[in-house]
Amino acid sequence: MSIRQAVECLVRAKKQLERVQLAANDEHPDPESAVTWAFYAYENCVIALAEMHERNWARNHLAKARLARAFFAEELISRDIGDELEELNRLRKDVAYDEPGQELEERNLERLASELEEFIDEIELRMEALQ
Amino acid sequence: MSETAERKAAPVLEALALSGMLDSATVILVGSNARGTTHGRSDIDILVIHDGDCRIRLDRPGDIHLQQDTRSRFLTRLEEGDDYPGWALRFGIALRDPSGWWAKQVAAELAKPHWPDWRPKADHARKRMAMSMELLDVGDVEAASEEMMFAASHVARAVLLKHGRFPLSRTELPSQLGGISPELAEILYCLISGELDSGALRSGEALLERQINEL
Repeated sequence: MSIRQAVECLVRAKKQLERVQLAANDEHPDPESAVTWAFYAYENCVIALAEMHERNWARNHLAKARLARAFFAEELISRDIGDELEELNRLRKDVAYDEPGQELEERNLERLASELEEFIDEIELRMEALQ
Repeated sequence: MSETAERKAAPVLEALALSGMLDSATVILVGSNARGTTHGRSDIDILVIHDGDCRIRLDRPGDIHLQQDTRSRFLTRLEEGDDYPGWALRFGIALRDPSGWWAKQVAAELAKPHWPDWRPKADHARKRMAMSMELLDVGDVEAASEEMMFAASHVARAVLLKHGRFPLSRTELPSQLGGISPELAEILYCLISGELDSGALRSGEALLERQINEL
């Protein structure tokens, strides 16, 4: 566990954010890509937080959602993304099985991208403070 | 309904009861839980079929993967050669069938089975392969591995359907593939068991592409 690994995760999350922003483009929206990239970006954010605070994490999607709730409860981050992670996990699995449901169409992609960006920015600020 | 199945489906049954749909909805346990072949990453796959255009929402789905359809859409998908409704009718476990609609569909399928179309599986696989490679490009090997597992599952189902074997649950696919494509069976087994490194993922992508081209 280290800050170096946390930085690597955050760099990955930022690259994935760029893909979310691209997929959320007003003219050619691609909700399937947007939710998939956003899901993996949020997971990288959770791992980054875990590495920053020297916390164990498991390669399990539900465990990462639980960890995200714990970080919020401990005020290590200002937003609880546990439910968002579970929701994105469901949506991106529907996409992976090629069974995208109605919820995907209803998802506001612009908001998805902006909320993810804010979350990444907050982690970056907290990381800088730790360093 | 067994106690285990009832416990697994409890959040769905509760949501249906709260929405007043418990006496009209058909609830089917599908996937590895229905086959008794779960592994560490298995979801609890539940299919809810409504008699009209309505839906329920689970606030915290956890490891429940809920699919919802209307009766007419479910039957249309079956006619169109989608393997999901066919799978549910063959192997699904009915948790709620208040009107007996499901039992009638199962009997009809048994009398005159539909054989799913393997071709859409190849297209789905290619999309997941592309996503896997893009994830690898940003250095996310864990995510790339998961997407490649979805891709390999789609290819495996296409290969099996083409060879006249109905694909079972994901964990059973490697053994089903054994006599047809040992290479595909091996990579799928590795992907289900754990993540692959970037080199193995790129080799896996090439293998899947070959398998699709040979179909």
